[in-house]
Amino acid sequence: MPLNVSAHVYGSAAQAALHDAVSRAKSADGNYDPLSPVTIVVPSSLAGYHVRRTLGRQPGGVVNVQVKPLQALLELIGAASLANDGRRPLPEAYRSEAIRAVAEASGSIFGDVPIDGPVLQTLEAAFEEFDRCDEAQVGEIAAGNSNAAYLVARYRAYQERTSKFYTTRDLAESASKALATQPSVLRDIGAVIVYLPGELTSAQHEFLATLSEHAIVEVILGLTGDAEAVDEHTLQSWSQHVDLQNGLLSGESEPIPTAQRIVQAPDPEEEVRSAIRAISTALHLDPPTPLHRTAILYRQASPYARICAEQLDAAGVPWNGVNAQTLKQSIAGRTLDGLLGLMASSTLSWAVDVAPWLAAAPMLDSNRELAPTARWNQLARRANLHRGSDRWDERLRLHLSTREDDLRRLSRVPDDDKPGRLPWVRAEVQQVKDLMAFTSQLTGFIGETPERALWSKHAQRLRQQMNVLLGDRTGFARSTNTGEDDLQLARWDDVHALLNSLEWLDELGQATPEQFASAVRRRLERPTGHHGRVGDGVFVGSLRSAVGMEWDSVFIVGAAERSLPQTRSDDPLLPDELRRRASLPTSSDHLRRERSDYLIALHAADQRVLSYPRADVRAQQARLPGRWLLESATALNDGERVYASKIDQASSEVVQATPSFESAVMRAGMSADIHEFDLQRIKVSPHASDHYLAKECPSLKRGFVQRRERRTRQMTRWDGLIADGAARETTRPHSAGALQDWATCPYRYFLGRVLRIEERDEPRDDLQITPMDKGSLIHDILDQFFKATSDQPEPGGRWSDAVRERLETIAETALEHAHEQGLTGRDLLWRRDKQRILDDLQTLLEQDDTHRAKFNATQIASELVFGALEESQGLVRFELNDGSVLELRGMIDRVDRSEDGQQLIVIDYKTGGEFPKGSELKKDAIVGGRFLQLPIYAHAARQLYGLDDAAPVQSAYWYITQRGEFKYNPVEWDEANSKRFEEAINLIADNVRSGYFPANPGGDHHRSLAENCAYCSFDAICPADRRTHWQQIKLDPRLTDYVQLTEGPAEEEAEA
Amino acid sequence: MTLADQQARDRIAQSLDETLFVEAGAGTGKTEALVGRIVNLIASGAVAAGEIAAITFTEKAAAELYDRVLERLDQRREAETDPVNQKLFADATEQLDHAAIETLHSFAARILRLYPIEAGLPPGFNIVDESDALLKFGERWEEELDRLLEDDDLAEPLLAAFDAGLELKHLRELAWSLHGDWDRAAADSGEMAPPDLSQRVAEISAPLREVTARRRECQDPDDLLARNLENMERVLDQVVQLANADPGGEALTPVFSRGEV
Repeated sequence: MPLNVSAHVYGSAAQAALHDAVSRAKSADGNYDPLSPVTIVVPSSLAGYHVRRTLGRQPGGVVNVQVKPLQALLELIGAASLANDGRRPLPEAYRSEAIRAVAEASGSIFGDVPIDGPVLQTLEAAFEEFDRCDEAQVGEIAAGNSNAAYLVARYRAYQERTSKFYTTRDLAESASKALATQPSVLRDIGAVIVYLPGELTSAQHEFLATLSEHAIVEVILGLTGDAEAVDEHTLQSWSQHVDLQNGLLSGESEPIPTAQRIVQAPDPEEEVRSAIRAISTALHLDPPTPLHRTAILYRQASPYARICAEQLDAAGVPWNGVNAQTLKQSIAGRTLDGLLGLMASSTLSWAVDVAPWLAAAPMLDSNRELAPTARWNQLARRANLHRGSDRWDERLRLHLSTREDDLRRLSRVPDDDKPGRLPWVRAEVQQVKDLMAFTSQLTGFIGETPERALWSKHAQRLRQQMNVLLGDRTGFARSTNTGEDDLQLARWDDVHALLNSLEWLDELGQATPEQFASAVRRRLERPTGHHGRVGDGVFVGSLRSAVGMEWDSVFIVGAAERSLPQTRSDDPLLPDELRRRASLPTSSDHLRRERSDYLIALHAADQRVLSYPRADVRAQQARLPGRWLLESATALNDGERVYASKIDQASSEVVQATPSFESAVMRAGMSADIHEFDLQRIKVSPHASDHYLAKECPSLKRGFVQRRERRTRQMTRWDGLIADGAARETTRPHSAGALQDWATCPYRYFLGRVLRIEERDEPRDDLQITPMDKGSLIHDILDQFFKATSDQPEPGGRWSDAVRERLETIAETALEHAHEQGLTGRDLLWRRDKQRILDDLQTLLEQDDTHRAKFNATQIASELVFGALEESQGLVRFELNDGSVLELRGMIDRVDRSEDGQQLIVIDYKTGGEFPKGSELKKDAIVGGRFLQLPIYAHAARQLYGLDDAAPVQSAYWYITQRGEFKYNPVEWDEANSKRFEEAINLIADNVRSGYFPANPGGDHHRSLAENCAYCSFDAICPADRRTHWQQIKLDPRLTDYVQLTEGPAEEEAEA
Repeated sequence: MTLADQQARDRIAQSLDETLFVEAGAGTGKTEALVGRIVNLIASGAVAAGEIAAITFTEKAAAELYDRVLERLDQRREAETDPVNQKLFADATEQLDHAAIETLHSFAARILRLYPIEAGLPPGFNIVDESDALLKFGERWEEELDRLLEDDDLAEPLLAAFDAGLELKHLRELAWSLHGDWDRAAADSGEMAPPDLSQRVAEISAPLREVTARRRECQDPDDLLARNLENMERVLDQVVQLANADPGGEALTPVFSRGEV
């Protein structure tokens, strides 16, 4: 029987032809027999679904009609005899790894570039093409050039390795043979209709020709309407295999389809939203366009697959199509991916490698309980788990022992001040133990990674470790027991299936961990199957998936220059010139195929919308419309050609431009989702706070009120006026730090001292000792030194060499301890920092000789603690003007007494740079209230040593490092300075009681930061407009005194 | 009216087998001349549209140039009566897609894509964008820094450099600029001779001395500026002396870092 070929325009015409063909096939002998078997060969399983659905609506329906992609038909007919010869279909993982193995086995043309990623992809694509070629073609390629010869040589090796498997070509050939030798294979197939086959390989053509000898075969070819670019070629290529009847093209010449509407959007997100608005609008028309009769199609999955999924989900519009999520984005997937990353890292860093990985999944501890991963990360920071996992265990042990010491001490001495501490420390001890068990298991697993092993061995190890981390299937289901987690459990299954599938590769020999990881990763990065049920809701997919489909309305997104059509250059390994000789598809064939896909997509619906984004936000580049979109623009412009760079001059009849998200929201007749709708309604309502949403949603209402009230020139409850509840704050003992916090920025005091918000300990990987750790180390050393030194020289005398050595010994021991604790960063930098500390300490002793001589003084105390604290030497009180008492607390680094006993010298050691500057301190002894340590320590010293309030006391900042140039900045607490301090402390106490906590960013700091915010922990949570806002509310009369304290008298007064 | 430079314009449009360098001010019609020349090249039949490269500095300029050539080809086709020439222009319109009318960056990428093996790149490579590049540099730098800090051979020079005020952020900046010019970094390395300090110091000290000499014009010996100038002169003398005694500079760095001058 001859192969009967007819050609029809894609879309409804082709579909009508299919229905006719089915009727014809069912009445082959002149009588219509609905039970007569018919097989329809469809271009894709998706198209198969659609064909069944439309046929089902026809009289006769789908009784005894099979719908199959060509590949499935070939399997049905040809696979059995291949299986009898012991040949199987080639599993995809085996194929990739076999290609990698043959490419790695001999010298590669790729030089040092590993056979992975794009290189492996290139090889896979080339070998797939070779699979379709016959021997003559492969020979032609090998003779082409040295790169091609290399590829063919590797391909031969690959063929040898995979000889137990069959290719698509083998299958087609086997099917052709089976038709001739075992006609019984055709028993249930009946008449065959090949629907919209596109381009076939020669083996497939041969199969159809053989098939037509045994059955009625009818082929329905699709035409796009673009004769010159596509259709002529289609017919010509078919005419090489079958005898086409004349005049297939005549009469039916349909114009090239164009879109009825063109949309220009600011970015891809807005493009998709504009499609969703149109889809929602069409639902309300008469007649409505049902969702399942609508499709959004793109050329490139990235970024559109993800955006469509997100936006349709946000709009609550059901959809189906390729899932944009990859396996790697699931809990199990990212856990496995992260684990592979840890295994590949040469020196593990907790902060960089482990912490983010731990935080991203519900990991289990060694008791199979959900691990407190955030807490673990905090502990890792405290125990200083830096880069280099070999020291983690030791560090954790050290940290554990200090916490156990704390625990013992606390159990002995009940701590009445902080009653919650004991259970807290006890819990921490347990947590550190759990963390130790976890890290040692993890590092043990990583350390035992074999250099080479069978694939199954790697897979087995990883499966086990995944079970350790996330639990077995039941355990995992339990720990992720929330709504979407059926999905997570499915992904858990996928991950384990992935690992199982790699066990098959043992035949390829042993693999390195890198090879195994790369094979796993490639599979983790693939999309995870189909979202939704086919036929349910809007279809989302590539242009190519439109073949054989038919909708009422399609939206083609991303029709920008370089994207549709895509720019492509010549294949670097198999250039076009060689491809032409070997009859392989060239770049113009690819372009034709893309053109065909695009036109098929347009034919798939009567209502067609094209859109493109005006900008590539990531690359910060403007984008222009693609030339195929311009075809439609020209058609809409009454045939007058529209050029890309002049698209903005086109009328709105031609292109509907959306300038921004806001304008889209405001102009839309139909919102894309409920949030857009709300935004639009709020925006148009004259009083936003009267809007129903503001009534429904108290936080939104508060937001509106806040905006309004914050515009006033008064301190309000939105900017630090806490009318009640702060008064009792002043009954608590205050440190200098707390008081100067309020003077610096009252809001900082509120957050830190009233609400007690602290910055979280996040894991860090410090290269060198932090200034803070360095400071406390030096303080510690000096304290130990003082306590170990009863033999101070006379005020005028010098420290002896023996004592100097003692300081050196004490310092060495303390520094070594810090090193063991992991506080000191990288060794090289520590060598330098350590030497600097030792040098500074010796310089300090020299300076101290001068200091003691100058003031005729002797040190009488070190780390003198006062106020309600452990090891306190006594309480210190400050009587406020209203007669109430403010208790003070703190620790004085050093107290000296002059030889005549007349004067105390109170010293605060500083290990950083000079701050505040000596000149500032001279101008104002408390620097606008921002530096209160000196007066408070002077005040405390007087009380602790039983002196009256007028007794002469000097207190000083002593900068005891090279960095601070050993400056000594003293303040004498004479009457004027003392008065200034007393006023300040009264003002602070009054304001705290009144509940005034406005945010004061202070003056300008370098790098455009505000002075008070540059090093403030709360910088990130303060409003962005804090500067202008402060300028506004500082005019509130209630803040006048504070502004005067911190900024000095206002200008007019100063002039007066 | 004929433009004063009409002859030059004609030469650009007509003299197709000559290499030209055209220099002209903004708005004088450079692009127009270029479009004319490209279209004439195509019309002459000597060059296929897909085999023309026209390099611009911005994507936008490239797109505009492409559009203008396309527009002109359309006009020429419409004006043609000879079907052979009509087809020539119609084909050229199709082929223009393959023409390298693009930025220097895209043109370079095109060449690399065509010859990845020769360039030592994987075929089908991706180009990372700027933010990714910065991120990746950061990761690589962390690793590199680890290596640097643990390299015993580097310990001594690094410590000396730290003493001289070098900070880790400076090393990072250095790595970043080497990274930016990696090709030159590779080509130039090893060719750097240590600077001759005495000569460099002489170059710097001469103009400084002109300044310090003016302190003699000062009437008040206690004037702060005069005293500072005197100090500066003393330091200069020391530096010159040190540099002459030790042109390699081995002794000079620690002297500076200890603040002895």
